Amino acid sequence: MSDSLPPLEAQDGAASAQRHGTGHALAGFLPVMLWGLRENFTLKKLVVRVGLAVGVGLLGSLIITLAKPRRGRDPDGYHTLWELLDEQMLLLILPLIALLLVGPMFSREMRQRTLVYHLVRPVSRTTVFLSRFFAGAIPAALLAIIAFWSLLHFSALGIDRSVWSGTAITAFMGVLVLGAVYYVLSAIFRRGLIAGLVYTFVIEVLIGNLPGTIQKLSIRYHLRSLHHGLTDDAFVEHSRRVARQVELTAQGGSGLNIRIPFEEPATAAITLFVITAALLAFGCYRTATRDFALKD
Amino acid sequence: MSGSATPSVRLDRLSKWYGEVMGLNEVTAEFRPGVTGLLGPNGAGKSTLIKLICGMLRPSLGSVFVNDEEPFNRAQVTRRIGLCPEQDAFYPKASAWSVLTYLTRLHGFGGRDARAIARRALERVGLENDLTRGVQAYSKGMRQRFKLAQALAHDPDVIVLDEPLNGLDPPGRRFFGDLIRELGAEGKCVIVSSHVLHEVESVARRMLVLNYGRVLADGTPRELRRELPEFPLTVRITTGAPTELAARVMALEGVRRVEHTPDGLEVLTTHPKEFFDALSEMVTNDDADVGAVVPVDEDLEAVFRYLTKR
Repeated sequence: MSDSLPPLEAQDGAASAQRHGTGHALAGFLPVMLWGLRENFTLKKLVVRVGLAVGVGLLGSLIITLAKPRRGRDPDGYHTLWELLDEQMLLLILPLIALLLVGPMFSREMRQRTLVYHLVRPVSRTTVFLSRFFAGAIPAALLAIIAFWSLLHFSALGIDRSVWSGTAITAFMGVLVLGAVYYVLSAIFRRGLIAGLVYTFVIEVLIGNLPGTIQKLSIRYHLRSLHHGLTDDAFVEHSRRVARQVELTAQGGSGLNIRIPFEEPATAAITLFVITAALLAFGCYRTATRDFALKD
Repeated sequence: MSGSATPSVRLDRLSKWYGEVMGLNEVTAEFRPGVTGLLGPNGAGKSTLIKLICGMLRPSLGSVFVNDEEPFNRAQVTRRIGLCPEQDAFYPKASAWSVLTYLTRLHGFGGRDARAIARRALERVGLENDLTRGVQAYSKGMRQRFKLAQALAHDPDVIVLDEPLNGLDPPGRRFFGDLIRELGAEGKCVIVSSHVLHEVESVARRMLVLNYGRVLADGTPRELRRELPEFPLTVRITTGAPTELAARVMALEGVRRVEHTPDGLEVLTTHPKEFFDALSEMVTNDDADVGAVVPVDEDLEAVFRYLTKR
């Protein structure tokens, strides 16, 4: 191994020049992100997580198969799949993935106190904060897409291409925005997981289910708008029952138990991006200005 | 040394509160090249001071300067600092070499250079045979060595070691002591904190004693003693006539206790200067029987004990 090392004298010259050079604001972004990826996704973890994501899809398809005989009005299972995507995948699986995989990425550095090594290195706190977020969010979003696509694949309903792309976009955006919520909460509160659960219960479940425009305060409203805007047309073609519920929802009826029409998918996507950016900006500000005592 | 010509840390009326709790109270001091011991009992404010120097905490009042720049959240300043934290901090399952390579890469080194630098740093602290082992599997002493390696790898000008000798066996302490002295001799500004005095006494020529967030004393052990004229001193006197001398010594101002020893007397005085002058007069003018006169507790432990308990 030592044969491959550069001569130390030569290395010192280059090293010194690099060490005293000035870097840009996000210098160190890539190494921190790659380290976060490596830490979060060892081969074993990767196999387990991909297996779980595929398992979620399989379970969903099993539910569709079992539901078929009992649902005379949904002989092909399109309506069941449509509901599964909306309720279980969007409102349960996405938050779960974001909470468990993205949320702890920064708080873990604080908990195991390895953050101290970053605080005395030429990498800004903002860089560490953002790079750790993306190290968690990107693979988590890919896992969410795998889960969604597994469901579409195993349900074997001959789904249109727009549903595949629509669910992928929704999964990606969902993990990004929900991940940002949980990530920032974890970075602020000592018990980030509990803070995340409280947020989910109060904002996403309680407020998100209240009738009227107050629902727009929840992320789930915008996520559902995006998802339904991108995928409903394909489902409507295959299922009259879905078509009826979509129509009811558009009129502010009880189609999806929402009672207000969905917004345009482009508006929803922009809103979600803005929420994500605002949360991350707040997290960056908080990280840059707070004390890190890193005690027990 | 590849850093600035005179690496230094300057504290100017530096204070830090945690809510209503005072962590540090108007500390003014300066750390220059060489080894300085930062002493004080647990809770004295040593770790708070270290975190302020390393830019982890923002001062509540006053200022801290590292090489003339404030360090809080300023990467260009903290890059010149090497910190060996008191508590264990490691990535589970990652090997020492890979962690150190990663941390070195944050200084802008390429992968090949970073690997070489990391390896060299680990070799310097004696971990050359355990490079690829997980830090989690290291013994306490090896973890201390790893933390020291990561503090030194990027060749910083200011090296802050928070209780570095904790949990080390005697050979480890000797090794660390030698290395710390070596760093001081190289012109680095080395700050070593400890609550155990003799640990620091052997490596640091200058001490900053803290208690309750305030500076109690600053200087070499000898200077500390000089700054404390009423610091009680125990003096051992060899004499052939202990009873006669004891009676005369007891009459001197500031003498608190006189005890017989096999060779003579042991005297506790709160006025060392006056005591030595008077003793000298006794010998010169009155032909008193006095052999050797040895201060027995001029070591730092006594000073430290006195300072932190008074």
